[in-house]
Amino acid sequence: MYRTHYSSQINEELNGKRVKVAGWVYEIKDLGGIKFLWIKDREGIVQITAPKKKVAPELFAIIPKLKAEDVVAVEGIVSFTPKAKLGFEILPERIEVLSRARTPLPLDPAGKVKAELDTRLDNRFIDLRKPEIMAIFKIRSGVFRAVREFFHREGFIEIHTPKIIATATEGGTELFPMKYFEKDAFLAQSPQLYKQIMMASGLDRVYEIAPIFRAEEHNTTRHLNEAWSIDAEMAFIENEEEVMGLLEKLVAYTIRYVRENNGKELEILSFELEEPKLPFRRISYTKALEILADLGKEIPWGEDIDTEGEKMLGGYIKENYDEDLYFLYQYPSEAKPFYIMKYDKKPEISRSFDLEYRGVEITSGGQREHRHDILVEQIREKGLNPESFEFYLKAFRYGMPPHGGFGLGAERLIKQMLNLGNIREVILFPRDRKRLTP
Amino acid sequence: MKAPICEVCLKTDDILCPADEKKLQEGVISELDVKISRLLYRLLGDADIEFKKAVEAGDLVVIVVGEGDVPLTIGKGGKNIKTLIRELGKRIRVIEGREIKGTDDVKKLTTDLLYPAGVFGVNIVYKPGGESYYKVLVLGRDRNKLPEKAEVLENILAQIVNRDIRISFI
Repeated sequence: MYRTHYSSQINEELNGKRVKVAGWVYEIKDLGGIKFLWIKDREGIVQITAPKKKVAPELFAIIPKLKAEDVVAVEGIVSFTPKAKLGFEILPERIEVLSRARTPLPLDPAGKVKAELDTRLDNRFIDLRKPEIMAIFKIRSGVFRAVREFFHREGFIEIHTPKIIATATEGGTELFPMKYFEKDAFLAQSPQLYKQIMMASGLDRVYEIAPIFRAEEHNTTRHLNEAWSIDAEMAFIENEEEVMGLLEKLVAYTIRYVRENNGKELEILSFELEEPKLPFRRISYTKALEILADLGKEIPWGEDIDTEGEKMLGGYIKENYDEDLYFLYQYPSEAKPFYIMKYDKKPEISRSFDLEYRGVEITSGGQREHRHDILVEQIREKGLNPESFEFYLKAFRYGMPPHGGFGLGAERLIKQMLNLGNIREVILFPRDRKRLTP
Repeated sequence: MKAPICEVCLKTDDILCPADEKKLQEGVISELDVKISRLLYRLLGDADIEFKKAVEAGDLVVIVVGEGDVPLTIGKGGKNIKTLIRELGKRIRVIEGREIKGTDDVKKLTTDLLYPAGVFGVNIVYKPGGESYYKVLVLGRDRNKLPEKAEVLENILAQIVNRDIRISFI
């Protein structure tokens, strides 16, 4: 390997020892008798100091010929000295140029010249060389790791359901049509029906982390056409509260994990991530409408709370309770899909919930209707034909336990967690109305 | 003026020629198309415009004309529209007709028709069983800016596009 240590791994114990570091040229300074080379790697920056008297002449000659973003590997002796900016420097014995960077660069990785988001996304590989951009993706990796850890601790089994589907799953959705040999097919917009089918299998508690595809043609800072969904479904629940309980624990666990394991990245982003208090506040849909009415926004009962309303509620909760995460629950049955269970005694209200983070919905979930005949009736009520759902309904005829679950948008979670302005910041290669490459 | 009925029928006020009568019977054109064709002919004479079709729902009549023909149809200071309102007793909207090939065309059409409410985007929604419809997204705050009730506009749009259209608020 060209590298024995990352910049961050060099400590005083290595003083006087030989190491190999490698990375991209960050800066070069030529003071005549002494030359400096700063190399950045994934974890930080390392300083190479080359005094004329101490290094071989050919090495001394290489340094001024290097340019920003060239890839180099350096072998040398670590020297801890108060004179060095970082507290230590490396006296080079060997410098190898592994790759040259052409000029001009498509964007400035030092961030001194600001680039438009489109330019950055077109050149994502170099955009990530900026520490504050890389920090987001290290945090993203932390989030997925935390989520998997949590589910395994809670006894969930990871499943994988098909992403090519035959029919619109949830009864009318914006889908990407595609050809599947001689048949028409679509890209899956949610694993909903499949994860529910798994509730009849005895796996009991399942989760899936996979992309979902939505052919929504509008461009917003909250929507992606390809996004990653964290889906869970659990059997033998008695009510939707048990699902909400699991979800809030998952989100709190993930935030805590990022706070504990991505401290360096949060510091780079100068972002203080607050640990949420459990349990999250629960606000019924009806109560939310009352709050909005007090704030001057009238929404008739039964209608969805729009983006503006969501934002206003987020602001209200923050101002009055200093909380970022809260549930909206007990939505009107009419506003929710057919598979959500209604309250037996109040069928106009459903056992559904959304989790909101700083005024943006990051999760939808609820208790599902597991009773076959009622489910068929609910499909009909939505103007859909139960025959189109035969593959799904079959699973409800031979022993289906009560169950519920949720779908958590990974990008929305990360965007809201870091309070970023645009969802495209948290996915490497966003797919939106205009972007199909890179 | 080009219209769904022939020049002879445009100039008369009574029965239609056999060819146009057949189109009416077969539903290719409607009574409203005939009525508006003749009204427009009276107002515009041989002006170089194309009247494509008219659709109505509720209190609203939408007149679909050729590309670039909206200003002439409306007339100076809206005088033609005023006459049509008087004659028909309904509100009038004149929009440019275009071939609907995809969501972009629906977006242009709905942007015209739903003004002053803004159209945020248009998606195709696929239903189980193979049917599909256009979903027109309007910002929730523009709900009261729609020129007519959403159901009426949906009805009119479906007639223009020949496919189901639903207006959705976000």
